[in-house]
Amino acid sequence: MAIHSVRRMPSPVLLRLDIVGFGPITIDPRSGTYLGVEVAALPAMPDALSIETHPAPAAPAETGSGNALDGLLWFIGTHAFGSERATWLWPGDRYRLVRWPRLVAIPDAHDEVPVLAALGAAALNAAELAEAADITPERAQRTINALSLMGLLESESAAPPPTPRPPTAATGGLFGRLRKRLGWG
Amino acid sequence: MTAPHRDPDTVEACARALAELKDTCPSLVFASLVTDDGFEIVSSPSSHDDGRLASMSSSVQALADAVAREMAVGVSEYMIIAAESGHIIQRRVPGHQIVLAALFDHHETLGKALSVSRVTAERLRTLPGTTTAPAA
Amino acid sequence: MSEHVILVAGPMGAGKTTAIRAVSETPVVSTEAVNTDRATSDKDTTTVALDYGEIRIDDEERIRLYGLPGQRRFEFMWRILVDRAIGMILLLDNSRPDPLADLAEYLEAFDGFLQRGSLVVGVTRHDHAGTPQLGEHIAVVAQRLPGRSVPVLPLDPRDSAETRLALMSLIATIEMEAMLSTTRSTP
Repeated sequence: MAIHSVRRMPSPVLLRLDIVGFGPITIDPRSGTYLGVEVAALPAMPDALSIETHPAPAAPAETGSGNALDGLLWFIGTHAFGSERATWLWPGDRYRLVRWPRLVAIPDAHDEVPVLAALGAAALNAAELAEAADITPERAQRTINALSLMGLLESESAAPPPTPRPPTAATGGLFGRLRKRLGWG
Repeated sequence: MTAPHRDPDTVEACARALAELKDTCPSLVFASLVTDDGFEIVSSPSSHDDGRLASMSSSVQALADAVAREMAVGVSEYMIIAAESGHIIQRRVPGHQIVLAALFDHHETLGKALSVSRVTAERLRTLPGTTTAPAA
Repeated sequence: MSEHVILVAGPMGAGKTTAIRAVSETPVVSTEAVNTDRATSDKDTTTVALDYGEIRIDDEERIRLYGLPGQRRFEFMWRILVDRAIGMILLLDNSRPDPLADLAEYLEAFDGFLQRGSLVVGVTRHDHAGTPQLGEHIAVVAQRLPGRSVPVLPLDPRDSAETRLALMSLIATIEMEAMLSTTRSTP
């Protein structure tokens, strides 16, 4: 929740997370990076953590320093709420991807690609995303939580439901066949 | 090394070669000498197409070379585009990254068109510049 | 035989030929010539017609990858090859003097195709040249193609995994746009 709120602050801030037993993480939303414990070392559900915000230094963040924030936010977003809707998301809203995340920062990115593509093609809620991308509703919700935390979604509360058409004869299922051919599923 | 199309000696030699080709073969409608990467060195008569034909000639030559490589039949010697109103012959200048493209009207026999274009290309073998092989 | 034509476009030196070589399952057919225009680019060679590579899904289905020549004097080849294509990977070299201008130029050049075809933008040499940032590329795409969610990815064309990921992003986008989009024609 704190990370989501930081995006809306008028002045730039740094966010510091202290995860008990794991050490600090300093997030700089301006540069899209963080310093501290790497994602692979983080627990899915920390026992305790503290969160502080600090005014960001006047100087712009150094480009290229730190780890890609997308990876950290993906981890937090997919774990923090289990399979429930993130607390800032409204029931009934649909979401559309306005910007793709850095795929190299997401584990098993090739699995996420069709999910991202579905959200890019139409405004969807979790149930509709699950159907379009052929994933479980729980996974769809976790994905929406994470992408929202990353600031990559826009909500369309008035969007009409999409009318999915069957895959075209020309390409229908090509992604799955290509993935299998490349040995990724 | 100066690019062929920017070297005055090369341009002049190429212009002379095209003039001799026209003298030898009045059925010549148009001829151009172009670099492998699509820049016109000289054409006769002068072209007014912003170099488009030169680019197309180099593309077509490169595709022909690629087909010959794929079919493993050796280096492509010449190419013919036979159209309703004439024949276009394309061949490389030996030892240079330069292509001769010549359009003959349909009254000309293919044999003569091939022959005079070959002679012209051979004459240009002595052009200044390197004699490196075309890029693969 | 079912074929899916994908174009790889972008300015000279962006990594098009390299990217196709990284993913093609067959030896790439290339049409390189010695580059005499060193003022434009210091590359030794330049593509003058096309690069061609393939991914064979099975005996009856292929993805055909066509690399377009980067220089504008060969844009007649762009028009020839764009006809049968269903998608495009547009590579931009972030170390060039003005990559955002390159991006805008190519989006305009392929405007007709992009009304029906899908797009992924790959930014090469992104780590060597930190600016412009990916967000700036995304903004240019958003301005030119409003309402479209186009993947804009950092890409090392030498890395087959990264290039395959870009290709898979394009294929997924093609399929999902066909299935879900109500505003564009089905490819």
